[in-house]
Amino acid sequence: MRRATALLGLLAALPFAAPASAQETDTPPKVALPPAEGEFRPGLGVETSHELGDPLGLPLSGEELDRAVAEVAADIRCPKCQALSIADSGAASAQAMRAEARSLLSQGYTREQVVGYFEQRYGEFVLLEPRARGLNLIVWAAPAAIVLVGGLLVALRLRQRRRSADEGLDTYLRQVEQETAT
Amino acid sequence: MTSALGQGFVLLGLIAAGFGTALGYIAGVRRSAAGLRLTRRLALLFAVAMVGASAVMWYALLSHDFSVSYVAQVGSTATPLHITIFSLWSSLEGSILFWGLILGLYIAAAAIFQRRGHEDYLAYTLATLLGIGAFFTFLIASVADPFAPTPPPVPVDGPGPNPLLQNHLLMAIHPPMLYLGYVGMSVPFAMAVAALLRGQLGATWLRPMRRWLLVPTSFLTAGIMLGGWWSYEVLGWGGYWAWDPVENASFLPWLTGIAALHSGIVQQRRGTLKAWTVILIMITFLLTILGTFLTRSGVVNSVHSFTQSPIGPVFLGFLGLCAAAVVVLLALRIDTLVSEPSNERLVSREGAFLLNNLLFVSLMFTVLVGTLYPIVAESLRGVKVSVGEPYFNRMAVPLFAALLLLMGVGPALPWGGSDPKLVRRALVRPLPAAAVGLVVALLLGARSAPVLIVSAFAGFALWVTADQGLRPVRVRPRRQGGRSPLAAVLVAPDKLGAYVVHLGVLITFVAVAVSSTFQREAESTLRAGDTLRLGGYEMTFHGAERVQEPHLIRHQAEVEVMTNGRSRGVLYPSLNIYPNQREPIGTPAVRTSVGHDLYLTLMNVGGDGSIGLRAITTPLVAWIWIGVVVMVLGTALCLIPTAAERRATTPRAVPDLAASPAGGGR
Amino acid sequence: MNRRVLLVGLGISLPLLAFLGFAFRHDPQIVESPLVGKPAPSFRLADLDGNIVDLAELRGQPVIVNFWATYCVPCLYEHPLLMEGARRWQGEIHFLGVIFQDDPDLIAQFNADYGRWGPSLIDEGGRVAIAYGVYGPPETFFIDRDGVIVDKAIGAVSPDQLLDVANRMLAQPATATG
Repeated sequence: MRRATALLGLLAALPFAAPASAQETDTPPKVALPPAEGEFRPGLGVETSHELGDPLGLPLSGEELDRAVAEVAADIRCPKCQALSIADSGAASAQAMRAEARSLLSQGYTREQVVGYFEQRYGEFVLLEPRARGLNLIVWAAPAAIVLVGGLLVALRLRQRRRSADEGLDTYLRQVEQETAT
Repeated sequence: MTSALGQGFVLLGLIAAGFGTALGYIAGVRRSAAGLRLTRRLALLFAVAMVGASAVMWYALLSHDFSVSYVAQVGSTATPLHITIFSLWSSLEGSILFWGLILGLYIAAAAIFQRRGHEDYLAYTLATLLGIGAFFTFLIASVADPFAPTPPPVPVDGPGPNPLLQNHLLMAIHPPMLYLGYVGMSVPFAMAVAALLRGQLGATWLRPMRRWLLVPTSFLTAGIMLGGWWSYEVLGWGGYWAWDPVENASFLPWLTGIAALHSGIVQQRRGTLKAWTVILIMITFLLTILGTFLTRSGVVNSVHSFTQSPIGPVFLGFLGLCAAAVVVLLALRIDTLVSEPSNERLVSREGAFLLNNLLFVSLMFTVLVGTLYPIVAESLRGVKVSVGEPYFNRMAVPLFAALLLLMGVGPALPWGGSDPKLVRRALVRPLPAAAVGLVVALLLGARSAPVLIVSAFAGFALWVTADQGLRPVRVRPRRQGGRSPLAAVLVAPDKLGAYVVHLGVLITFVAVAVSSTFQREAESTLRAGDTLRLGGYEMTFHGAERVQEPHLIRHQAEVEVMTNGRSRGVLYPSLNIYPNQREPIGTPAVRTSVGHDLYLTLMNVGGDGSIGLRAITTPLVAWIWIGVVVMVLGTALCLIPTAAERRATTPRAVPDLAASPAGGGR
Repeated sequence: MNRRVLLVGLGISLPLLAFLGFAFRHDPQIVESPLVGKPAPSFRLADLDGNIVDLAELRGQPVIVNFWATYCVPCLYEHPLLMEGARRWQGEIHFLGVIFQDDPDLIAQFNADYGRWGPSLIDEGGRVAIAYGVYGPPETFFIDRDGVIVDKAIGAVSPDQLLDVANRMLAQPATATG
C-alpha cells in the first residue's frame, strides 16, 4: 500500500529532536510587493470587509466607543481562557480581540455586526450568551418556565390546604392513631 | 513500604464501610441494639482508617517519598513546607483521599454526637453514611489510588503542584472548606434516608437534622466565598465570580441546602412541609455528587477541572445509583411522612417561606440548566456553545432581587397571617427604612433602576432584620422580670443567629450589587515615569524588575499610588512566568480600604521596559467578605443549644408526634 | 408507591444522566471551526525577512496555513512533520506559518535551531488569527486551489490527516479562477 508507506515516512520524521540542518526547505515564490489591485488594500493585514459587509452604524469615538467596546467584549468568550470574557481577560489574544472590536466599532460597524463577526470566525462557542433560537430556546425559556410551574404548584398547595384545613383535624387524628398502632 | 501501609488503611476502611453498611441496615430493620453498637464501632473504625491513610500520605509527601505515585505527581523537594502539606488536595487522587478523610470525621462525629435517644434512626443513618464511605474507599482503592507504587525508575524529584495553587495561602483553606461543605451534606442526607425508612419525621429528629444541615451549608458558604476571594486576589481579572461551571457546581447544593433550612423552620413550627424538606435534603446531596462529578470528569470546560481520568465514568455510575436509590426510596416511602393540617395563606410567614423555597429552587434549576446546556447542545446539535456570565446575571439577578424583597417582607409577616390589619401594619412600618435606602442610593449617585430598587429593598430588609433580631432583647426583659439582654438572647440563640445571618446576607448582597455596578477601570501602556489616572488616583510607574525565584521568574512593577498629591504607598503588581506554563500568570496588587479597592494588574512587560497596566477601582469589595464572616458568626449562634434543649440534659426518646407542636396552638 | 414522585424523579434524573454520559464522547477542548467549507480570509503579511506573502496570489495551488509559536509544545512536536511535508510537496503545496502572539526574535532563533518549513509571517495585532478564529496554537488550515478551507487541525497535525488532506487537495482539478 502506497499510502501506508508514505505514512510511515512521515511518521519517521516525527521524533522532534531533528535539530537545525542545512536542508532548509524553501517554499516557492513569495510574491514581492506588486501594487495591490481590486479588492486588496495596499497595506498589510487581513481583508475582512467582504465578510462583514457595509458598516450599518455610525463611526464611534471617545466615551461612546469605550462603552461599545466594553459591551461587546463582555459578551465574547476569551478563546484561551475558561469562562472569562475578553473584557475580563488579560490574555494576549483577548487583548487582540478587544483591539479588533474597537477598530471595527470605530469604523461604524454596529455591535451586532462585530459580535456576528466573532461568531462567524470562532463559532457559536465564543458567545457567552447563546442566541435565542432553535434548541437554545431551552436555556432561555427554562427559568421562566420553572418559576411559573413552581408558582402554580405553590398556588395549588395553598388552595388545597385552605380547603382541607377545616376537615383536616379529624383526618389528622385518625392518621395519628394509625401510625401509633404500627 | 509506604504504599503498602497506605493501601492497607484504605482496604481496612473499605471493609469497615462495607460491613457497616450491611450491618447497619439489618440492625435498623430488626431494631437490634447489639447490631447498632457494632455498626457504631465499624463507623469509628472507618474514621480511624481514613485518618491513618491520610497520615501516611502526609508522611510520604513530607518525606518526599517519590516511590508513592501521588508524591511523584505533585511533590517536589523545592516546594515550601506549607505548600507540601496542602498538596494533599491539590490533585485528583489526593483530593479523593482527603474527601475520604473528611467523610470519616463526619461519620465519627455523627456516631458520637447522635448516639443518645435516636437508636432507631441512628442505625439507618450510619449504614447510609458508611455506604457512601464504601464508594469513596472503593475509588481510592481502585481507579484513583494515590498510593500506587511509582513504576521504576523512581524519580529523585517531582514537578510540584500546579503553580496557580502555589501563590496564595487562600488556596490552603478554600478547598478544605468546600469539602467540609460538600461532604457534610452526606450527614443530613443519611438522616433523611433514616427518616424515610422509619416512616417518621418528628421534631426530635428534625432538630438535629437541621443542625447537621446548617453546619455544611455554613462551610459551603465560607468555601464559596474563599474561592471568590482567591479568584480576586490571584487570577487578576478584577472579579470574584465568573459563573464558571465548577463555581456553579458548588453553588447548586448551597441553594437547595438553604431552601431546606428554611422549609425546616416551617416544619418545626407548623409540622408541615415534611416530605418537601426531605426531598430538598436529598436533592442537595445529589447535587454535591453531581458537582464532584463535573469537577473531576473533565466533561465541562473550567479552570478548576482536574484532568480527564477513568474516575469520571465510575463517578457517573455512583451518581446514577444514588439518584435511582433516592427516587425509588422517595416513591415508596414519601407518603409515610404526613404533614399536620394547617391553614396557609400567601400573605403570611408560611406563605413567605413557600415563596422562598420557590425562588431558591428556581435559581438552582436556572443555574443547573445553564451549566449543563452546553452538554445538551453538543449531544443534540453537535455544536459547542457557551453559557456564561451575561446569561447568568440576566437570569439570576431578578431572582436574587425577589429574594431580597422576601427577606424583608417574610420575617415581618405574622405566622398564620389571618388578621389583615396586623399584616398591613407589619408591612407599612418598615417603609420609611425603604425610603431611606432609596435616598441614600440617590445621594451616592445611583441612577439606574435596578440599583435603586435593590437599595429600597435592602433598606426595608435591614429594618425588619434588626427589628426581629432584637425582639428577644426588647420584649423579654419586660415580660419576664428584667432579665439581662444576654440571658434573653441565650433563651433561643438560634433566633438571633438567624437574623445575624440575614444581616450578613444583606451586607454581602449590597456589596455585590454596588461593586458590580460601579466598577471603573483604566488601561494604558506606561514607560518609567508615566502616570495613569483613575477616579482620583494617580499611579506613577517607577520601573520594573525581573526577579529570579527558585521555581519562577517574576516581573514586578513598582507603581506609586497618590491621591490629592499625597503618596499613599507603593504597589507591586507582577507577572509570574513558570517554566511549564504557556501564558504568564499575573498576580494583582490590591489596595483595600473600607470604601473601595484599588486593583492593579500587569498586562504585559515590553522588551523596552514599558508595561501594560490595568487599574480597576471597585467599591465595597471588602464588605462582600465581611458579610460572609457575619453569616458564619450567625450560624455559630444558631448552633448554641436553646434553653429548652439545655434543660433536657438527657434527651428522652419522646414519641415524635406528641413532641411536635400541634398545629400552632390550635 | 407514590407514582407522581417516581415519574417526576425519573423524568428529571434519567435525561440528565444520559446527557452526562454522552458528554464523555466529546473532548471539551476541541471546538469545530465554522470556517471549514468557506473561503479562506485573504491576508497579506510580511515574513521575518520583510518579504510579502499575499494569500490571494497563491490561488491555484493548495496552501497549508499553520498558526504557531515557540512556547507551544505541540508546535514543537509537529515541526518535523511539517518539515517533511514541505519537502515532499515542494512546488505543489505552499506551507505558510503565521506567528501567534510570539516574539519574532524567538521565532527567528527557533528557525535557525530547528530549520524552517516555510515563511514565518508576522501577524501584527493578531488580526489574521482572529479572522481565522484561532483559539490557540497550533492550528492548521488546509486551503484548496480555489481558496476554500477544506479542513482544519487543532493541536499538532497528525501525519494521517496531513497526508490525507494534502492528497485530496492535490487530486482536485484546478478550476479556472484568478
